Amino acid sequence: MRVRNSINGLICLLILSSGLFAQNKDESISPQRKQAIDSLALEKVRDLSKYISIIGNKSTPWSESQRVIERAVELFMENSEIGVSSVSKPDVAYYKVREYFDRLMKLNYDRVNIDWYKIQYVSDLERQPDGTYVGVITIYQRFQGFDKEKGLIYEDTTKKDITVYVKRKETQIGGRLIGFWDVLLGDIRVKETSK
Amino acid sequence: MTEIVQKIKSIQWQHYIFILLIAAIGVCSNGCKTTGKLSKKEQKAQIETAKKMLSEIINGTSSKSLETQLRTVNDIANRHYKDPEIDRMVEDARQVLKNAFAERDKQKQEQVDAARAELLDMLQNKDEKSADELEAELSKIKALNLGNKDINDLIAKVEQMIAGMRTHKTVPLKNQIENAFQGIADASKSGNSSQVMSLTRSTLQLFSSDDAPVLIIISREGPDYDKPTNIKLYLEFLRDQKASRNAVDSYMFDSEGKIKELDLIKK
Repeated sequence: MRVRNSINGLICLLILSSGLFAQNKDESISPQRKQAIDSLALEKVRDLSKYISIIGNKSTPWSESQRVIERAVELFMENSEIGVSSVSKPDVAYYKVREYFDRLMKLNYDRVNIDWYKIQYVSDLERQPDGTYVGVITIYQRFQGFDKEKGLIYEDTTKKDITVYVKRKETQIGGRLIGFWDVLLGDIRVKETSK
Repeated sequence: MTEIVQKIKSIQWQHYIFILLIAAIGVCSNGCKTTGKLSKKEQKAQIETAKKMLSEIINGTSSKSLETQLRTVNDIANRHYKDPEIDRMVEDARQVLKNAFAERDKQKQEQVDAARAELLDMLQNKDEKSADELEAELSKIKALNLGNKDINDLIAKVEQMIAGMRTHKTVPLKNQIENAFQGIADASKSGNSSQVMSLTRSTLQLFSSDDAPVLIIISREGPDYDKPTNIKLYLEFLRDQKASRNAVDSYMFDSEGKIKELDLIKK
């Protein structure tokens, strides 16, 4: 009986250690590479903020807005949604990414300013079992809407969380096998809205 | 006998001249015969000479050019000596010359390829050689006299580059590209859309096509890249972001000296 228990214990130990070994083998990314991926994901969020400014800007020609919308949509995973809030309404509306940008372009103001700031991680990128790194980046958005005659007619500050997915992929470029990190944004959820 | 003499005496002087003329023609035709049948001795000598020449060609010891050797073989073949050994040697010589021509073409192609690679390196001038150093290298390539259009075009480009270096007008390509990127970002930031378009157009001309791949290194360890893009989209990205965050790491040229692939690295 005692011998059988010892053997069972040994088998369990072997299974556990092989699992650990497998995990360690997969997590071969160095801190420097991890930092590069963290920066890349943050950069994509900053890129999005610039695209949003261009799309929302009433002086941007329609064709330019359409081109930029395409670039912005490419940053997102399919079926991602973006939350929209207002100080005058308690509910948050969620729109599919493309619909959000189309609505942004057609906002009923003469001039719009949208600025994103304090862009930072609230949850670091962490490796999932399938190899994807997932994290959450938070942003503060200042929105200002102007009327030609009345000036500033609406203003709010919103805190939003953006889920970020980063996965390593490979492709052939000119005969070379290139390993790249594909950063895709998930849902943008509204956390707080204030005046 | 008396009758014969009487007959001879009866021949007029015109007849004598006529007979002499006929005789003269007969003698000349016999003496001028050079294309007719050779004597066996002469033919044997010619065959031996032909075998000797063919032997030199087959053994590769002939000092004449390949074209001259080929003419020699064809001349011998056209004489139709009806000698089996000659016929065999003619075939062997033709095969040897065929291989020799092929080898010469291969060597020439290798020279062309090597010259092309050298010229493209010179255009890139990664080692930042002086105009004199580049000129010396270019002279060696020109001396090869390769007679290839692509090579001549590249030579002209390098000559232009060297001339520009001597007049201090040429900026290294890496700097040209980075300056263009920064220029587009700055022009976009200041709202100068015509400057943006002008810089975009002139920058695209450095590239083999609008689809030329652009790879951005995010970490040399790996190495790890951002999602690949192309030069047209990258220039649009600079315009949208109004900032140039990447430096030129390396580039590859196509056979016409245009950039076919660009690697950037985070600044």
